Amino acid sequence: MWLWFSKLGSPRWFYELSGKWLPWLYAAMAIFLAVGLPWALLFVPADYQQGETIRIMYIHVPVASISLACFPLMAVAGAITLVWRMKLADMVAKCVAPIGAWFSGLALLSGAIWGEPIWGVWWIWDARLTSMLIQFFLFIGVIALRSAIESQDAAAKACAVLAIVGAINVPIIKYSVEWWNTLHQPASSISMDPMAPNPPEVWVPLLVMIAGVYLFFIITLLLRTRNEILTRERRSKWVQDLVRKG
Amino acid sequence: MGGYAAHVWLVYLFFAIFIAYNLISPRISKQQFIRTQKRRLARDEEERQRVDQSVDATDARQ
Repeated sequence: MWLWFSKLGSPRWFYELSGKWLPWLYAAMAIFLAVGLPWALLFVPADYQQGETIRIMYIHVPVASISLACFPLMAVAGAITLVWRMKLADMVAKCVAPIGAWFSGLALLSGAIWGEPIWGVWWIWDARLTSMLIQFFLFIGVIALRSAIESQDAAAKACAVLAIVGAINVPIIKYSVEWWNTLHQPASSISMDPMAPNPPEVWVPLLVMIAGVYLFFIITLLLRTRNEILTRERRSKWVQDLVRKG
Repeated sequence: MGGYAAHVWLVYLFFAIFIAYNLISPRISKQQFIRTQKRRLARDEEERQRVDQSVDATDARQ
């Protein structure tokens, strides 16, 4: 197992392996989104309270849940960078930050667009929204910190520390709706009963969309990490051979 | 859509832009990288050939 772990740390091995996985991931993502998007837009029944705006849930929830996953991933990659000095972990940490910022930004934007007709406000300083905004600023902060430090090693360490410290915000976001009296609703329970508020015809397409958007996240991360590998390893023979082949 | 069509379609539009940008932008970056590196390798190769030729010329004179 340790051999596999140390092999995974080889940028070249990761580049080649991810190249084999990508076509399958693209196909899987296309299938899930091709099923989930029309299902969410056309076939999910309108909510008895929120009406047709419930369809925004099928974008907002997957995007928000992945943005919550990005920060711990960045923190773990940062910890691996600090402890084992694995170059690939730093590359992953560097690539997760802009993706996480995109996801957090879209979660905030879609939430605001959903909140306007339902809550009557585009924004409110409740615990969930505020902590999510803080996470968005933390992602921007990690990106800015890396650009500000010239030395790649020093930047890797500084960003790793910021990511680890900032990860405390993740449980705050997750449990904010339980710890405080927030406008944002708590997590809904799911039910197999077709007469329940959350019947399968509502949450099954949500799971399909979550799967599709997770696959998109993995693909985006692999694409960016592969580019980072090429950039950092550009002087190596295998990259030069790759460039010559075009 | 109960008067909220604009809200729903706006979110889906942003989502489509988000997906398209994040799938296309890394590919464009990779192509730019390959173009830049090809030019660099070609330049390095020319430099190497120039150096080899000047070394050969020096050897011939000696």
